Amino acid sequence: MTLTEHIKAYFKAWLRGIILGAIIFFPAKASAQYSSNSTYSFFGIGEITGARPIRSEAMGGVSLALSSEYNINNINPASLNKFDSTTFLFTAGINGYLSSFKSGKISKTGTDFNFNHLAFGFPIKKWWATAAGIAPFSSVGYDVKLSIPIEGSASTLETQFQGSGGVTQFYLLNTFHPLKPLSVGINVSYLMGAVKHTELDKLTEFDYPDVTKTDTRYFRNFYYKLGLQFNQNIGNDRLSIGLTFNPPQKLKIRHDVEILIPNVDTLNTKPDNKDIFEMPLAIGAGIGYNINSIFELAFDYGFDRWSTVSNSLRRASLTDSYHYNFGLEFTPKETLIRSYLSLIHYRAGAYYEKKYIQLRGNEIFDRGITIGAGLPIGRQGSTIDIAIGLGRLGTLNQGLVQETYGSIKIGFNFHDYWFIKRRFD
Amino acid sequence: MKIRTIICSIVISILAVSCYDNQEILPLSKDIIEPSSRLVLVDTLGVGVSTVILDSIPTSGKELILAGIYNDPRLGKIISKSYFQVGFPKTLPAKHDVFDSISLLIAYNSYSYGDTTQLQKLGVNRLTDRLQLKEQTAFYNTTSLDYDHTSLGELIFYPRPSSKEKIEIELNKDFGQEIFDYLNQAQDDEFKEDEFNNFFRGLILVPDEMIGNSINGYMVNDTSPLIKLYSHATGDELISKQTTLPLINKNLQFNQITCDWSNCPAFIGHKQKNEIPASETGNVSFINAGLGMYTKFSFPSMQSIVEFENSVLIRAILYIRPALGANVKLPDSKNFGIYQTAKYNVLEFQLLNPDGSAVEPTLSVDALYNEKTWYSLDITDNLISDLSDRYIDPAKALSVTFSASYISNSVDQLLIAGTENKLTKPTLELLFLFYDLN
Repeated sequence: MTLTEHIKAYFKAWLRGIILGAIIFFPAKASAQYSSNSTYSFFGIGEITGARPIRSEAMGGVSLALSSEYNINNINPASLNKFDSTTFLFTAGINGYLSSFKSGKISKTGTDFNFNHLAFGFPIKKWWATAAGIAPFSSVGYDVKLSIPIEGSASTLETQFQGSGGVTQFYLLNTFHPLKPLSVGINVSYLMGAVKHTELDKLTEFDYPDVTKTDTRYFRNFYYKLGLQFNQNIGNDRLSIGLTFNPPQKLKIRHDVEILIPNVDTLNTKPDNKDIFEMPLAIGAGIGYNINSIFELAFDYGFDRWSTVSNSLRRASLTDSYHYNFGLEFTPKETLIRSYLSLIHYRAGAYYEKKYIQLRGNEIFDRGITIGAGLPIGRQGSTIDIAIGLGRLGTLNQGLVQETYGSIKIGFNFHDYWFIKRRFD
Repeated sequence: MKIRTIICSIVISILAVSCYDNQEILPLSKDIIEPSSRLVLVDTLGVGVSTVILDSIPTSGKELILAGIYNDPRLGKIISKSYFQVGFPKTLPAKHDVFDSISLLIAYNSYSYGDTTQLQKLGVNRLTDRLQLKEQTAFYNTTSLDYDHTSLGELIFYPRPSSKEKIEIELNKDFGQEIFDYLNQAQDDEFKEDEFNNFFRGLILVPDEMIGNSINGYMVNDTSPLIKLYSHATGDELISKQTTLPLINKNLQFNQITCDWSNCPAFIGHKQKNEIPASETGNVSFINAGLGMYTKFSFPSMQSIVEFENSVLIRAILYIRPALGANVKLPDSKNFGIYQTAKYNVLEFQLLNPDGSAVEPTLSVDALYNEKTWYSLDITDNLISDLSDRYIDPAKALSVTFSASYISNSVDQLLIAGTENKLTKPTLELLFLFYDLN
């Protein structure tokens, strides 16, 4: 097959896929949106999700020092250094969460399914590989209510707060590795998306229709990230080091506010308050060690200097965020048993993260453990990756919300050999 | 199916199923999320209370006789006189019959105000003015017509408003004979009804000012009031006969209700355009049906709420407290009429609900402590429409009175507490939603 024929074949497959998918899942589409299902996503740009490859998700989120022929690691733009000259990778993932939210003594549960990522990648030259994809950058999703005292009165007003939307990242990764063992990369992204916050004042008990305030912020701009990865073979082992760097950047905001007062008026304004959202300087460093292609251990540390930027977060304040991730992967291969089980990649990990918001003097932590597996399909390196996690976000201190969640993330990595005509198709 | 198709289908499906489901809303225990709007209850706006006495209220054609005297401890002597006319009988006495006696009969209608355990004296006098409307469209509580001050008959009695028996007042025999003769005469002549009505112009029930302390209601229908002429035929046997003179011009029957203001001189010489503040009448204001008194609530500083930025009025409730709490029988909510009044205390219009029904106050009774005995009046709609042009006419006020049908049909009274007592003064409770446009 020529390149053109391959592209045609993919287009056809896509078309068929779209039709089939639409038929099966059209009814579900009506309510489709991605969200984070976290009260803390009320603030700022929402919860910064940083969608990772599912392989990383199963390994406690480590990613900076990882590289693979069968995965697109969008976290470190210098990681596409394992692509074979014939590699074509296509990958997609979904997340599912079952969460229990607790505030004071009351808890509620919620489920949340959303899209994790969609990407494809291939080498351009021997020393240059590229990947393009789409992933949620941040997401907002909450549905909470508050009883607010009425000034001058003993009664209260019930207000419901709902949030939805998020910022989507369209990214283009380019890894250059002319001088092995070093590779450098750049991720040029375009971020865009709308975050919608709705505040519903329930006035029915005062014989008045509910008043709704809808605050929509449209974020957009280019966003850059630089990466570096170093892979050095030591006998049958391999030592990897990964570094990433985000310079401080600014997102543009368009801000619309609508207040709907039934029977009276609908007020629309475009507040002229600060129309940018600052993203801070961020660095990440990771180290990995691969033993004989059977064990891979990795550790990541990341730090975002949120304290130096000046976004207005209303009741919350900004604080530097950091994260630690630790993960390992075990692939038995033929060394142990000669069966399918020996081909599976077994993964586990843990993470500990401090979020960028501080509320009532409380720092918000997210921590959890993960396990997962990479299940090979066929003989060409395609896999289905599964990651299962259990975590806890937030605290019950000072009336804050604690979220305990279980997650399942599934990724499809479709690995194909371009430029090779297969005998059976 | 090729593997590519399957994989692409899965991917599309993944995109499609992205969804979020959270059936229940989590109540936050603390306001970690900052609401951008807030509700504020404002109840510090001053409310002025005064009494306005309508120049007149129509009382004719209401099919009710109100007659009696009541010594109101706060106002003075309230007197209700009633005018009506009886007409030519359907059947006349026979030519040679002999007149015996004449009586006026009236039936109670069960309405009563005051103390019925006290004796009452009602007199019946003959009108010298004709019971006729000239330019005006009705007779009013203030209308007075001339009558012969020599009484035709009187009755001293204990009023029994719930009794089914009529009261009968025997009238002067000379007067009876005069009527009888006129009717006998009429048999010979070609009778003209109008001539009779000019000859016998009507009657007025006049309560004695010294005897009695209640005003009672009497029916106005085909059998009350009426005059009976008793007679007998001459001959071998004594045959008693009755001739009935029925009520005519029912729509002209009216009650004249006056007060001498002996206990409240502030009202002497009142005019509708001049309201009397509650502070001048013992920290109470009055709503009185028969005398046409209503209580006016004014809001002198209302314009200040127009200045509130980024806010919307959610609810406005006026709490009106009866001066005597629940210690007296409080009129039903449906008996009230709420009006907007303008300059010179002119009633502009009655406040109506969106469905067209009249706005009524809601009575709440706190029998134990009286602290929450009040009429609450939801004036949200009225105030919202006032606020819409961001100007409030300072002369605009709310007037609480009895409904149009009730005001002409009773002498009921409600005392409203004035502003001097902090616990009982009327309060206007305004609930505002302040919103943030940022």
